[in-house]
Amino acid sequence: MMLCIPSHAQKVRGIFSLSDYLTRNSYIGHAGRQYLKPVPPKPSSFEPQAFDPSAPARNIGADGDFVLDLLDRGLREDALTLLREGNYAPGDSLSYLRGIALYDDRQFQAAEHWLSMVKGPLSDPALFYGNVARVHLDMPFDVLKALAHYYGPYSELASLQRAGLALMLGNVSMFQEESAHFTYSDYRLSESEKAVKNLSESLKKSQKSPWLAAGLSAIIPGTGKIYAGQTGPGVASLLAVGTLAAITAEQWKHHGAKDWRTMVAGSLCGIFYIGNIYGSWVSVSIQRQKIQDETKALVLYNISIPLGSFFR
Amino acid sequence: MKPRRWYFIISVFLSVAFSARAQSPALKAVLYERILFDGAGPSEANDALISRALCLTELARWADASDALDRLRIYALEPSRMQEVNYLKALCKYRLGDYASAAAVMAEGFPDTTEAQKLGVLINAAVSWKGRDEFVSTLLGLAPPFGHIYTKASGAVPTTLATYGSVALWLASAISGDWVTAILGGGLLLSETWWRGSVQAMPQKAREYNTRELANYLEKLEAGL
Repeated sequence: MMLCIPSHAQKVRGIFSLSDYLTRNSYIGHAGRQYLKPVPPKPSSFEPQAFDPSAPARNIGADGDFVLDLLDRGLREDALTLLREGNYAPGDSLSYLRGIALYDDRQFQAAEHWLSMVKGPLSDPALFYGNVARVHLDMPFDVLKALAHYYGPYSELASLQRAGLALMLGNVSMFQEESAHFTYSDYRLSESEKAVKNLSESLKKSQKSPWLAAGLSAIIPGTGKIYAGQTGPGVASLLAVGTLAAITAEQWKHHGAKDWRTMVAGSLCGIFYIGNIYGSWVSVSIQRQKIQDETKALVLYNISIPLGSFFR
Repeated sequence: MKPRRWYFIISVFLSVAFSARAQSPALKAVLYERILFDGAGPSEANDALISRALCLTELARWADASDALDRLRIYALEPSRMQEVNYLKALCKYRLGDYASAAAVMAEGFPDTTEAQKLGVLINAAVSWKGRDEFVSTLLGLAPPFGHIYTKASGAVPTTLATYGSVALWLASAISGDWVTAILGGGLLLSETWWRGSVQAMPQKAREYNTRELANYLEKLEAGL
């Protein structure tokens, strides 16, 4: 069931979400895996205007191999220093190497800028590296646009990138259309093709309904969260609501319904009960976001791994 | 020294000196790396790596400098330079917070310079510094606020109030015969306030104290040298 859930739903708002927040972050609640936002890409330190075309410059020539050697050995900062201060003449090779060095340094915005400037024989590798950078920057439609008229020698690699994007966008028909081009015969692509295919199968099974989660928690507190894959917070909700219900019952029995202790315990029980239903509904959106992030990470991994075999 | 080596060293240093943009230590470090890429012999490679490490220490890129020194061909290193290399290695390890390795390198011999003696004092101070024990802090955490006091951690007052408040609720409920409230309610509250807030948090607070206080201590010591 597709439902529009606001992305800020997990923020604390009101007394019910506060109670859900308390149970979610309690000792038992923490037994489950915490949801973490992915680390944002590093800001660029390599601005395009840093290049001075009026200064006397030389061709990058054989230094290109040195830059690639630095990158292969993980000396990214050295590679970037050389490209920034090396006083090289502008050209496709320089733009490509800058793009690749920035890509390796996870400065995707600047990498995308330099790679998109590459023309000529390096345009194919620049296109595919640039596409991975665009996926990092959450620009999937730009990738589809860039690949729309690609008829070069790496058509199966293009299909892999399009299929990965289709998974990220939840576009089943596009995924089926693109994965039909997988041959599984090219050793550079076969593992990634299999992984993307397996990912599509596991995504089909992981669809959860927020209404069902809320309904389950209304019947037995915490079960909605367990259904959404958050076992720790689910058990914490069950214990919190169950304990408050038992305390309310005991106070009622010993002191009567109108006693202040019964009222306090009963009110707390009601707040935590409703909070648990709301929290279960939110859990599905958290889980959905988590699956989206994991899908993106897996797609990125599988579309970037073959690039090394093809172009480095 | 062989004439080829003289020629090589002079050409490298002239190229670095006359390069229009060679003023930046970062670019110099790359140019020294380039010497290795071009297939320098062991002795020239060592000179280039030591020069590269010096440039990188100037930039406070301690990990990269340490990597450069780890790549030295020890068999081709002149014995007279060994102590200089030891000093640089120990400096990098010290700045990276790896005091035990810095002490081990220092034991192999340092040059007789003021800087090396200062570094030696700092390394010895770092190695012999005694921080808060995690086990002791956990034991003290059983009786709040002693764990917090021992580790000088914030949040001692709210944790202590919450813990003893939970104990009071537990006792009051038990005395009045409300056993469900005492056992379940008191148990849940104490698991959050006493166990999680005081006992379980103590090892982390001890580690935070040790990191913070050791850094402060060494900073003050270094300023005084």
